[in-house]
Amino acid sequence: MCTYTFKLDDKLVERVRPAFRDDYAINEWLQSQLETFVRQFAEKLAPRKNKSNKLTDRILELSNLKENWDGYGAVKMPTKVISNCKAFVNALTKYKIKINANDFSPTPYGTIVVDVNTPKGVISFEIGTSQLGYFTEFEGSSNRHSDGINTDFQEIPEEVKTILNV
Amino acid sequence: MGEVIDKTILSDEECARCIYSPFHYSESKNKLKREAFLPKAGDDCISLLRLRYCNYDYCINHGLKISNPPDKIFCVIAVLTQNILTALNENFDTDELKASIVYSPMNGNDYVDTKIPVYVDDANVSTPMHADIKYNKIVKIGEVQTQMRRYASELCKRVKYAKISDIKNGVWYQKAEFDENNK
Repeated sequence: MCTYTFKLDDKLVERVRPAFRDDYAINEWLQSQLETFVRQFAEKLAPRKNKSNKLTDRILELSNLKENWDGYGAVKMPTKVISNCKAFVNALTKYKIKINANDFSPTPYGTIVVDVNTPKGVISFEIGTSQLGYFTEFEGSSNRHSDGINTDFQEIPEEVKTILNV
Repeated sequence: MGEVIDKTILSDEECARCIYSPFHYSESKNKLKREAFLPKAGDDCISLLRLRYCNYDYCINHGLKISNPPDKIFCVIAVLTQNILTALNENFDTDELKASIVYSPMNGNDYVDTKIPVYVDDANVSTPMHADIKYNKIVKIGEVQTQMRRYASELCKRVKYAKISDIKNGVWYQKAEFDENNK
């Protein structure tokens, strides 16, 4: 339990005093009001934490895929691709890029696809063992793609920053 | 012996691909994923069933054998033709990547020698109506494949597909796009 100190305007407290039997009752009431306020604020912040957990859960789910997960002979996800995916997601999150856990897809040949929805359209990233590939599907504007950028996935490559507008 | 399986895939011959949720199909968006049309590592092929030699009931039974709920749920059948791939090959912005549907009967997990005639009711061939989408590129494990993903993405927009519960009612998605490519 932590102790915090607050300063209240005496005149303000005087106005509510008639509603309480003594100072101890005022103290208790303030305590309960503050707790309610902090709890509500914590709940407001909670969805952000849940979203991050969803991404982590999704990556874990992909790392747990067994051989032949698609019934057509797909490979198990290479551990390097999983660690690259975690690093890439961290890098995107730094720039407040919104990613949805449902937009992560494994490929049968052991890479992970992350589709990012932007106001212009979709940017589809592919995370491999040593490269990041992408293409855009923008409506009514010129599209771009890369067959593979060599990266360690810790930072977003400059070319990709331009596409993401960050 | 019944009819011999034609080694030539006709341009408008319909071929079916069994699609599984969640990896090939998004239930929430009711949308096919391009990953449904990507080959496995060390390969360049994607399995299909020729509807000229089987019906949707056969495809559904085939798909249900591979289904493994809740991880992999057989939910959709996608249909495409050689015409669609020919149009894509012509319009795709690079000449490096091509694909076509090829004759490839299978017995269990093994391909049957394509020089040997195969019959519809062949006792030695478990899936005589099997065919493949064959790309001109073999994919390697963990290697990004931007061109192939772009190709598969375009292919996804041109195939028609139906939920297995809707096939008998004839409820197809993207039928107009499919028909446009098969005029």
